[in-house]
Amino acid sequence: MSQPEDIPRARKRRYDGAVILPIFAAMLILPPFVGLFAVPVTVFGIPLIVLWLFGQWLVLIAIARRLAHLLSHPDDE
Amino acid sequence: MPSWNTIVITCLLYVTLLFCIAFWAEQRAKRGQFGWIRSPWVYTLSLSVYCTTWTYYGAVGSAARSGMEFVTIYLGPTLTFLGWWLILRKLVRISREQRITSVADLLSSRYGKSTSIGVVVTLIAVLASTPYIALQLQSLSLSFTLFSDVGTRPAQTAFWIASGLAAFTILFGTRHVDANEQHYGVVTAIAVEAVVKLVALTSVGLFVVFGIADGPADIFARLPDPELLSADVFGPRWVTLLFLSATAVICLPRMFQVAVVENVDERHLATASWAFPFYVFLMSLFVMPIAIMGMTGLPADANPDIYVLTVPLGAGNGGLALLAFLGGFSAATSMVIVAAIALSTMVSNHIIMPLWLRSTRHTTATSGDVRGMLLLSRRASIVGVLALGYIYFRVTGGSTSLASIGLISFLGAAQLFPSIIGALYWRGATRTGAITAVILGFGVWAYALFIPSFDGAFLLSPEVIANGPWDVELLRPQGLFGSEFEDPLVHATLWSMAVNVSALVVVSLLSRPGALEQLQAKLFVDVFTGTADRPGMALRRTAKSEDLFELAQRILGRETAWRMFTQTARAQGKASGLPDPSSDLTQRLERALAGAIGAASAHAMVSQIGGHGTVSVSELMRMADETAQIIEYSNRIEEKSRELEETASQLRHANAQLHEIAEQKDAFLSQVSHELRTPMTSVRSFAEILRDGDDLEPDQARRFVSIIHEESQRLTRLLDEILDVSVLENGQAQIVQVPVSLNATIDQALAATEPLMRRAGVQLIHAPGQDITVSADRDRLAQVLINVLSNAVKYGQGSPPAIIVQVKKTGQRVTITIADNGPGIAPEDQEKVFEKFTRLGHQTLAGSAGLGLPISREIMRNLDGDLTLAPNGPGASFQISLNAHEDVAAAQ
Repeated sequence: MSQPEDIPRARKRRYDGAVILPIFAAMLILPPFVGLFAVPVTVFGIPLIVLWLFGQWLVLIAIARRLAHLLSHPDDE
Repeated sequence: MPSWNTIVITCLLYVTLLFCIAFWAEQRAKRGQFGWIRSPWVYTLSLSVYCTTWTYYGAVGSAARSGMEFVTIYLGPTLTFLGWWLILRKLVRISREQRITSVADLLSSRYGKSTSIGVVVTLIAVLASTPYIALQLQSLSLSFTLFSDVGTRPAQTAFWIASGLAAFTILFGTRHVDANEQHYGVVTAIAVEAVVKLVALTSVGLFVVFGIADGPADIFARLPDPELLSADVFGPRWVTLLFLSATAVICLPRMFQVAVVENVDERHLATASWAFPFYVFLMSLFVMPIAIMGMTGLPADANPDIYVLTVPLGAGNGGLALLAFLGGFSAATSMVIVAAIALSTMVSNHIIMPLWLRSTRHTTATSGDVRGMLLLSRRASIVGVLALGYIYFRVTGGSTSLASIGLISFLGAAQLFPSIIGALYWRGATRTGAITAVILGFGVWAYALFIPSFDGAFLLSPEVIANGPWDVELLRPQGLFGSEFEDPLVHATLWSMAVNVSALVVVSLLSRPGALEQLQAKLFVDVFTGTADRPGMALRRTAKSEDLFELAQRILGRETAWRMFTQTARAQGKASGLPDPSSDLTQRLERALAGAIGAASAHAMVSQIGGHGTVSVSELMRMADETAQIIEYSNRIEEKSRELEETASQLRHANAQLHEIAEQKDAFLSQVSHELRTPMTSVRSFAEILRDGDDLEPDQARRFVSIIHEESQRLTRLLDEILDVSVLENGQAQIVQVPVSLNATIDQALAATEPLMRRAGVQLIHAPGQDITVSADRDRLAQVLINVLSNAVKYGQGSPPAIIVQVKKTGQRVTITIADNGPGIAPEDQEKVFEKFTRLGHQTLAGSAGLGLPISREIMRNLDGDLTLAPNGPGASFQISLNAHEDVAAAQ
């Protein structure tokens, strides 16, 4: 019954987000983006590439968590 | 270092604990107290069956050899789960609606419920998984041997491990032939194993980072070779590994089992979409530190693949080593158990059961038989799958080539990926296309990666691998058509996927899907536009009222369904519209439907709409049984009702006839009274004139009296005729059939009508031929002839009037034709002339009551002849037909 135009804009945005997130993630973890920081630099003693890889991984997980919450509770704005 | 006994006792205790947990979860599920057994966290943790010993031990080894490359094995699944909205959600929805039990079942169901594709996929899955299971057995026996202070034989250890795993899997994987193939006990146990794995690896990692070293910075400062973290790994192999591990989460039989089949609620996917990536994130967090510590703190010849064990051992922390060992043990057991369940379901459902059903097609199988057979085949398959793994392990003898077998297995399973994507998104994908794609892709996989991985020990010799078969360079297994890749895995992935996808697309476009295939394609591709709402998160477990109503209407009929739903809506306190889809409504509907189509079918139908529960083979057999009974019963009812209908139609016909006769009788009576009234009126009026008229001339009086006389004669004639009709029509007339000379009868009739003819000036044309003896009643036949002749005189009136009388004999039939040259009878009146009291036109001649022709016809019919009106001819032409006398006919 609910036609596409009936879906509130906010919810539509979430659907779009759910589709774009894996594409965005793939872009980040595929070359060349993934190798951007493979340089012999350390931050607090940890190689930058390790921080970059695990850092973006954690950010992606955080976004996914927020998105999953929004998609599971369609009435929250 | 923990002693051998400690290790064995710990393992036994651990396994006992797993048994208890699985048993407890089964019991709770049986009582319906699901609680957290069905929580998204258990689902997420059960997905960790992805992390086998290959990832648990192997990731550290990989990190020691190739730096950050190991991350891809975890990033791939992360990608798939981040994109859960696109693929996994659709897979889970379809699997529930179609009651899918395995990846083979998914493809078989989508491509027209094809048996052949189920068999192909099952065989491929078993082939690709066997080395993987062997790998688990090998790692387990290796880690056991590490702790063994007495001389043990790895083969023996592996045998006992395999047997124990088989026992556990049979106990909890085949407790019942569940309709929905969900194993709460196993899943809960796997979830506990996931926690053990994570705790073990994290503990080792924390110990390494903060116990041995002095924080993360210290660890990375010890990095022996900075090249390990260079950008070199981010090449084609990185992309290939990402792709393979991303597809593995869907295509590996065990992953499909936990991620799709064991999923009890779509909403769990939303939690798993971030929680599972987080789990693998934690699993990989300490891999690099452990690898660095192993490389720097252990002797150079130490095997990197067991750093997880040797690093704590080297640091003298026996307890931690034991925990690490348990972690590896968990990883191996969970993988083997789930893989055995998934593979045994496939083997049993797609290979053994079809064969068994085919072989017992002619014997009547009770549902008990099927259930028993299903359990037996599942158990046999579990034993078979583990036995295959064990045999593989013994034959390859723990060769080093097993180390890469994980990825080889991934690529084997990935051959299903194009067909799965086609199944979900491309309606044009056909069965032929999918089978061709899977077989060709698998062939390339075997030729370019799997067989060469034995380094010439199996099928292909080292020379063939190096130079190609018959020294044909173009067919080199690891350099097909001259393509040069450093890495055989990248090479095989590219070629197999290229061949696979092209075959799927091209063959699908060239082949024609069957009807069922098209239907399933629509159900799969449009799963969210069908019964469900728009792709919102309105993931209701219960059915929609509209769908239930539709179903009810289709089976119960519109009115009954409407009444039932309205009643339920009233009971729910709704003034209008459909009731809420409560379980009460579902049950009520199910019961109502059961009355019409049998309980089993009703249950299957309603739960299909409700979206939970699947139809097991046994349920199907029961349905079939009941359906057969219903069919027989309804056949009988149909026969009965056909008989009744026949009787009813006969009665209806008789009733209509009676009705008609009654109407005729009424019309006849009113005609008769009218006909009698006319002469009576003139008789009465002339009688009154005679009574009152004293001054009547005697002449006049005599004329009046003669009129009265004539009229009463006419009355008498009329009454005679009426009597005649009724007697003739009732078949009570005394008509005898004797040999009669036709010429004499015609002469008699002509003589009787001669005065009439002469008065009318009619010219008679009659040439009496050879005399014919007919079988008739002479007086009656003469009566008919006179009647027809006088009619011809009265109504013929041609100028000059003429009447033709002809006699013709055809075989046994004699026809007398009496025709005039008058205006004839209009076609619409031709049937009317034989009705009683019919006079054509307005001419009424004295003495005619309109009964002559009906009487004549009745007479002729009583004489086994007929009186008809010939359709042609300028004037009216009556034909009297009757039978010639047999003896005479025989004599002639």
